[in-house]
Amino acid sequence: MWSFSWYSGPVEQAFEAKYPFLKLKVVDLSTELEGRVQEEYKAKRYNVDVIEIPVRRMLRLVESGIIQEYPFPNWPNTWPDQPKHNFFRQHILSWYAPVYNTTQITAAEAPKTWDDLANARWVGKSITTISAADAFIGHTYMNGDLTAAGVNWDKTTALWKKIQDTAKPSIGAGFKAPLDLVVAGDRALMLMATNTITNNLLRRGAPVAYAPFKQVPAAAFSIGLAKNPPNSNAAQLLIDFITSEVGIAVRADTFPTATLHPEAAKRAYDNQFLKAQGIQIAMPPIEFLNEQMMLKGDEVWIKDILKR
Amino acid sequence: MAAVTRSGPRFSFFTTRNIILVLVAAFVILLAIIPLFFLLWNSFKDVSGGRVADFGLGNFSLTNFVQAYASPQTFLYLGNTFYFAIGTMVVALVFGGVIAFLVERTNTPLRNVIYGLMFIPLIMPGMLKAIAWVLLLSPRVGILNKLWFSLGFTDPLFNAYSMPAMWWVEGLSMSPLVFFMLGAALRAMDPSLEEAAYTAGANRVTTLFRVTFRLMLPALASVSLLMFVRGLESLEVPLIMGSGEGIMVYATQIYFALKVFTPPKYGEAYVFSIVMLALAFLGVFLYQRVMSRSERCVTVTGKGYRPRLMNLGKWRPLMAVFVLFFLFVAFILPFLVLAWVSLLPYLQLPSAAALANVSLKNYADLFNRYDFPIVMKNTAILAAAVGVGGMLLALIISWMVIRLKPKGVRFLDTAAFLPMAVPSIALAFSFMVLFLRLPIPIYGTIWILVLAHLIKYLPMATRFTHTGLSQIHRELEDAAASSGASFVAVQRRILIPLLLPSLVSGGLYILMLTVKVFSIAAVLYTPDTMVFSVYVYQLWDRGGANEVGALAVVMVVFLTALTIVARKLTQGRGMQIAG
Repeated sequence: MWSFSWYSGPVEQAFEAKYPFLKLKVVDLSTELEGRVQEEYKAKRYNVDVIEIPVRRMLRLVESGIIQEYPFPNWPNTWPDQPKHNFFRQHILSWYAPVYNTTQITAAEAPKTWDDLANARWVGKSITTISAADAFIGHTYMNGDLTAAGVNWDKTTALWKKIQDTAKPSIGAGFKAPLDLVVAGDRALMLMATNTITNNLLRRGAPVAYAPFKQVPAAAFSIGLAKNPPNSNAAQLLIDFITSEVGIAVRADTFPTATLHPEAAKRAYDNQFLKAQGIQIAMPPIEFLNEQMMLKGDEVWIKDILKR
Repeated sequence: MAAVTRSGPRFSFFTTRNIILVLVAAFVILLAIIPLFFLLWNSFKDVSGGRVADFGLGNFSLTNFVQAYASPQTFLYLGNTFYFAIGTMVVALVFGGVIAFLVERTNTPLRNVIYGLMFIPLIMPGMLKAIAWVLLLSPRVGILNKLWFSLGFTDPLFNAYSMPAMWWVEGLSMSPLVFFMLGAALRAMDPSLEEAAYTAGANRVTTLFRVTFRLMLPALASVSLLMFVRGLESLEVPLIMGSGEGIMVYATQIYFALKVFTPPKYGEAYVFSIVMLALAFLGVFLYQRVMSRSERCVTVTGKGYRPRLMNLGKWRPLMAVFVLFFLFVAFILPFLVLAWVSLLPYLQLPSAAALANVSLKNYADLFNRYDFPIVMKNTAILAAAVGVGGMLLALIISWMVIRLKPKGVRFLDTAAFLPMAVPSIALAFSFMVLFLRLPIPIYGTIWILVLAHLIKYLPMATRFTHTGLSQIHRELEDAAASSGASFVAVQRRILIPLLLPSLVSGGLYILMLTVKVFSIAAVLYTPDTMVFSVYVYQLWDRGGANEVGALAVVMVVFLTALTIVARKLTQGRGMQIAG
């Protein structure tokens, strides 16, 4: 299995416990995944059985003919947030919110709305990340500007430009290093952190907390069966396991993140956290997404707003 | 009329020596040129949609160049890149050079300890090293600034997010290479020339500048070139300490093109790389100009010599304190930060409250991971193969370039240097594309990792062997050859023993880079060939800085011990055998 963002351990153990005659090997790749799999397929070298990747990248693999249709018996496409076809399922998600260091900012002082981020009191104390374009695209959807007809970038762009101009955050790369600087106290507030890394830090007792926003943007991860998989039967067993209620619960808990599986969501930690805090997630429907729009989102976030 | 016949041995091109040389040259040129071709070709192609390459004969365009250079900021970044590389080079040269001189040419105490400590910055994972320095130099919470504030000052003394801080951190990281290269050269230097200067009435300063420096010219040229090119492609420090405040360099632009945009903008990254390549070419040109006069710098001849150490006299303990203090601040302090981090569940500055969280859990978790032994085994194979294979290959290339000098040898020399300026990820993709199609079954094995790392670090390996070899007069080999020694015997019994310090230092250096650098392995690894660098990255990305800290501490301790052992084994060997 090839995964864009794998947290090893429990899923392998659970899968191998269920199928002791199978060994799950995970190639955990970052942005190199697409390039590598595309070149392997061009050379007719089929090394991969199952691919798990952010949905915007999965769309491209489908377009390249690398993913095959599969019925996903444990996860019909009639369930919410699923594509109408059978190339993949959206199974887990990342959501994005401001996160602050609780030793430097009290709950009362923490920002409560996105507009609160556009405040001069964060000058020298805040950090954002160049890697948050997906969050920005989700934010346009949250603002009602991303529809099936297209995107009006203006409102969300204006908000983030105002935040940039007022809070003057430092600009990091990725989500890990900037949040580590917040944990260490070098910065007090990360304007757009991801739930998976924050949840991991919270589990370790790090002094961070989500800003209490009522609605936050999100982006889905997806799972699909590769075309010509070298271990076809085992690949199907793995997909069936991960998309089962038990499997997805383990996967979501390990990441740790929320799941889109309706039954597993009833007990997944992150789903329950969102519910308890009354946080709504805004995830653009799959049919709203296309490559041109997402490329534009990258450009606006990185070049227009962050000026990088 | 009687036929005239020539007597004497018949000339044959197909000698063992020539076959070895031709094979090595072909191997190096082929594998070094491929990434360059890959880079140049695809910089003129519209590689979009996540594809890394397009080898079709159509669709050439300048789109990548236009996109990369449309913004005037790009030229500002070029200035920053140059400024950063130069500053880094200067810090590394000063720091590494002074320590090398003290260790190799004076009787400073604790030289073996200093030698071992010099490897610490090499193995510290880049991201974590940059964060460790932020924890030390941050204007808000930096440990050193807090000490400063405790003295009553209100403005921070250091600013981690500034160009001088970036020079300092990156320069220190690179100083081991300066130390090892200049150290090997200093060890090989014939002190009779300096003694002649003293006899002629020159004082120590005059001798240092007019004799020692001149003799060191090839080594200085080599190491300056390497520092400069390495400075051009350094990523972690500019990314963590510079980009947040707008100090952007080309390496960060390449990183953004590859890692931030979806799909990655490979074409744009290739174009940025070409500028770095052009700067590297310029460096190679200047370097070759210097090296063309390297005969003047030959110091080891057939005549016996004995390197002598400068007696520091009453300054000896003071100098030791100075060096150790400097090493403490430069290397041990960030390592202590790393060790501290490895004992905690998350990043915390030292405090009584943090002390309550200290445990060995990260180490226990690390050793209990089922894949840890596999990773260590793969890493050992990879590192040993690259370290030994790289230096042997480099020795043969240097011998051709410096001794044999056949027609077109500059092309080989330049080809062997080119991979230095090709970004690791482009090199890895080019190897991936090549070996996916060649009927050589190494794709997916540890050997493709060996090959890719070997080619990537060949430029550094050859700088070590070039420098060492240019200081050994060929009369030693000529004498052996005229006594009937074969080419292989000359290498094995004359050159390798004489060059042993350079070979060991170079081998250790490329071994450590191989262990640490992530970009190549990230593209070419499989679950069965997982190595340390990928493991570190995954732990870092998924778990936290703390597990990485534990892993890094383990590796630093292991590799420091390895270097001290290597140093012990080569002490009294090498150049000194002539005495």
